[in-house]
Amino acid sequence: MDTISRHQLLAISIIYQIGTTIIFGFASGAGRDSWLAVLISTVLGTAIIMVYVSVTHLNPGLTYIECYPKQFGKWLGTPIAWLHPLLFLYIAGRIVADINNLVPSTILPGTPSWAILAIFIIVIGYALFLGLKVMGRLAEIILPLLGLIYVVEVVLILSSGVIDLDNLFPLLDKGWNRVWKVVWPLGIIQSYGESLALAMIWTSVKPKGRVGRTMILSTLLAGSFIAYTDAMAVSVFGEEIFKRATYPMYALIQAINVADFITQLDATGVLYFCFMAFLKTYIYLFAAIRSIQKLTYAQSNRSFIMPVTVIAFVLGLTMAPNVIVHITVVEKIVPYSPIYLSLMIFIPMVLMAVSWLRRKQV
Amino acid sequence: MASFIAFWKSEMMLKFPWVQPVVFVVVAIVLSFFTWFRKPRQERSKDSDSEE
Repeated sequence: MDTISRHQLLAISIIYQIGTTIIFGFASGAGRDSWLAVLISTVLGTAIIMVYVSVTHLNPGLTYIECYPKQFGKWLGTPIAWLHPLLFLYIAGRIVADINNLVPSTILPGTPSWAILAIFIIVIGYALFLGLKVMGRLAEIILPLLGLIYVVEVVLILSSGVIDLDNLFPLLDKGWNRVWKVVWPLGIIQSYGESLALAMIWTSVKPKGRVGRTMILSTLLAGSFIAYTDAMAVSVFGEEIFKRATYPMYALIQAINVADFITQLDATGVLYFCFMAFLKTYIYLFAAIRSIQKLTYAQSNRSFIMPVTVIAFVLGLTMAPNVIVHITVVEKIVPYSPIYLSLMIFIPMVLMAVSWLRRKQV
Repeated sequence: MASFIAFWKSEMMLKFPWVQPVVFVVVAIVLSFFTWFRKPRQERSKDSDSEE
């Protein structure tokens, strides 16, 4: 069976949770208080992730979706379990659509979208055939490189002289209202609630144990990273431009200009966005495939790889005609969707309570 | 009605946000029949071993 170490889980989780926020930004609705909204979302998101960890601890040896039929019975638990691979497929399609919107409008304007996505999906399909172990090793190698690139970019941004810390103040001048509007529910669902897909790989972690601590560490690191990046973007652009920017983080990299010599570093931003999107899509598709394998009692998951990757490709290609509509759905529809809220927040809490009560009875 | 098939498209999600949850629940129930009525592989192989 494919196994990964705790260190590989940490690397995968950090990259996964930073995900597409590296380009689209996070909590921009809170304006200059976005970094504060991110930190609050991180704390609450950690609590949500601990609910998922508790569910798997209370049901040892089972993957996350197998807990539903076990605790809720086969008639109720099985349809709830089947909702998960459908949700994972949809979210994977959304990330592919992110690539569809970003790459042709930034670094490859003359390349047809279907060609970019086809190559992206073929590589993901190949990675799915190779297994989780390979992705664990890849994440372990890439994370320090991404960290190094990010540190260099921060140094270059500081050297460009574009940062104005006055843009961060006054803090909370418009009150807590807009901060809470961003935290609930989008702030918690994005990155943290979506870690539900990571729950499908926890049974692959060897040696067992300390998954909870690894996930807490990765969540806090990812949240701190996003908060710091948001604060930097606000300090460079000011509140109004940050709120209205389509790709605020991408714009941040474009702002780098050291002595008119080091400029035009946009491609590095797109590069690490592409890798983060690659890993996030991989995890979603892996989680969907593993869920389908468990729910159909299949011996091997390989027969599901091709159909699942084709579905993700079609979803991503056809999802959004432009990035504005795509982002509007994320801001106005997704956070309030009963599917997202139930599967990521409410039903796991009920599952945890039921698992705990049943274990107590035994 | 035919446009509801493409429920994942952003325009559909903005105009009819209720379609996606409904489609998901219906598909999940349909797919559940695979789980309910397909015996686990182990049980099937046990059945065939005992028949031999």
